[in-house]
Amino acid sequence: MNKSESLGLSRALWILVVCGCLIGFLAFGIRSSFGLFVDPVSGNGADAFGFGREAFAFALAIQNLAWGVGQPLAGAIADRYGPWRVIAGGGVLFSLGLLTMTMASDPTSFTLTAGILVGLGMSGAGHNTVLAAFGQLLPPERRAWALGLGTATASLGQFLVVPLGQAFIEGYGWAGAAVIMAIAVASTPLLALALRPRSLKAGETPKAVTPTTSTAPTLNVALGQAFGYNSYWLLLSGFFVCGFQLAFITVHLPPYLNDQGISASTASWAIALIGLFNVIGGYASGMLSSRMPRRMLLVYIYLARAIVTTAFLVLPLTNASTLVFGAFMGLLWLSTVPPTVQLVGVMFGNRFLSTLFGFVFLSHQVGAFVGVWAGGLLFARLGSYDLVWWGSVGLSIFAALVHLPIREKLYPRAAPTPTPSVA
Amino acid sequence: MLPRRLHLLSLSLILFLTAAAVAAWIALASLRDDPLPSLVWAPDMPDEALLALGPPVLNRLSGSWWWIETTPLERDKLRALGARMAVAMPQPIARMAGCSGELPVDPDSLRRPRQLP
Repeated sequence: MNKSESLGLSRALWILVVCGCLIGFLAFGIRSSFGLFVDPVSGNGADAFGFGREAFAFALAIQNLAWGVGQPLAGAIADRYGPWRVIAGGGVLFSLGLLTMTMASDPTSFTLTAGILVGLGMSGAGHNTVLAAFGQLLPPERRAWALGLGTATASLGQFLVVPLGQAFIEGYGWAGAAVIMAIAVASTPLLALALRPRSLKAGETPKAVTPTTSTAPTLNVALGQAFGYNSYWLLLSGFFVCGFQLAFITVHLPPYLNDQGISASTASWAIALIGLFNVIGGYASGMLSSRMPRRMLLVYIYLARAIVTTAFLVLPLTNASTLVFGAFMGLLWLSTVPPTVQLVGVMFGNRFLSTLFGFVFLSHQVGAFVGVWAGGLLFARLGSYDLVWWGSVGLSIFAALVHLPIREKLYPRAAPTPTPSVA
Repeated sequence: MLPRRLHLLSLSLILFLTAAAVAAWIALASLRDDPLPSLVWAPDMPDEALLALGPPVLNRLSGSWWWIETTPLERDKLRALGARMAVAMPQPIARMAGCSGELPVDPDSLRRPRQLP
C-alpha cells in the first residue's frame, strides 16, 4: 500500500480530485470575471462594441438563466453518460462562447455567445457538475472532504482569477483577455479525462463509480420521487434563499456602502475578503458535513447569516465593521454547497445526484435573479436598501427553519436497488 | 477522522493554485510599459546611487529592499547597475506587501523630474 492509498485514495482518485478542482477553479474564476468586461465591451473605447450597459447586463442575465436551466439538463446527461463527457462538452461550449463573443457585432449575437453559450458551458463544466461527480465517483468516506476541497478551490478561483482577468484586460484588451480565457477553458476536456471511469483501477469501480444506493430505477421515477418528497422541496427553498443573498450582496453591497459614505476601496476589500474567507468556509463546511447532521449544519449556517447581517445593520457602519462583515459572510458564502449536495445524495442515492442537485441549483439561480432584481426595484421605489437587507435576515431565519424538518435518510418508498454503472 | 496528511495535501493544492495565479499576475505586470511599484533588492548598490537614478522611491523596507516605481527599461537599468532583483508588482499585491507609497524614503526623490530612459 503506497502513501496515497493509506489516505483512502488511490493515485487515480487523487488525480480525479485534483483535475476536478482545477476545472472548478478555472470555470468559476473565469465566470466571475465577467463583470470586468462591462465597461471595456459596452463603453465607447477603441475596441468596445458601444451598445451600452443594458445590453451587456441582459446578456449576463441570460447567461445566469442558461446556467441555471442548463444545470438539471447537464446533470441528467451526466447521470446517463458519465460526468466527464458533460464536463468536456461544457468546456468546449464555454471556450467557444468566450471566443465567439469577441466576434459578436450586435447585442443579439453577444447574448447568444457570452450569454447562452457561456451559460450552458458553465452548466456542464462548472463546479456544480464537478461536485456532483465527486459525490458519485469517490468512496463514501472521502466524499465530504472532496466536496469541501472542490468548493474551496472554486472559491479560490473567484478570488484569484478576477484580478488576473483585470490584468489580462489591461495588458491585451478585453478581446485578448477573452481569447486567453478561452484557451484556459479549452484545457477542461483534457482535465475531464481524469474523471473517466476507465481511468480508475478495476478494484475501484464497484465502490467508486457505481452509485451505492438508489430508490429509483429511471430518471422519471427519480424526479417523481424527488418532487413528491417534502424534504426535497424544503431543500430547494433553502437554496433559493442562498442564491438570493449571494446575488444581492455581490451586486448591491458596493453601491449600498457608497451610499453610506464607505469608500469604494473598502467595498472592494470587503468583496475580496468574502472570496478569501469563502475558501476556508467551503473547506470547513465539507469537513463538518461528515461529522454532524447536514441539515443541522445548514440550520447553523443560515442562522449565522441572520446574526451577521443583523449585526452589520444594527452596529455603526465603519470601515472595520464592513471588513468584518465581509470576512464572516465569506465563511458562510458557499459553505451551504457541500451539505446540500450530500443531503441530495443521502435522500435519493447517487445515481441521479447530478440531475437532482441540478434542480436544487436552478432554485438557487432563481433566488439569485430575484435577489438582484428585488434589490434594484426596491431601491428605485424606496431610495434605500433597508427593506431588502431586513428581508434577507427574515429569509435566513426562514431557511434555517425549513431545514429543521428535513429527513436525512434514504427516500423511504422503495428498498435500495443495485444500479448500472454510469460508464 | 481524516488523516492530518490529507488536510496538508489539500492546503498544498490551495497554496499551489494561489502561487500559480499570483506568479501569472506578477508576470503580466512585468510586461506592462507603464510605471509600476517594483520590489528592488540592491545590497551592493549605495543608497545614493539608487536614489540618483530617477524613478521615485516609494518605500524603503529593511536592509537593501526598496519599493521603486519603475518602467521595464528602468528595471533593466537597475539590474545593469547591480540590483540583484527588480520585479514589478501589481498594485494590490504591492500594497499588501508593504508598499504604501505615502512615506518616501527621500522626499527629494519624489520631487525630482521623472527621467524616463
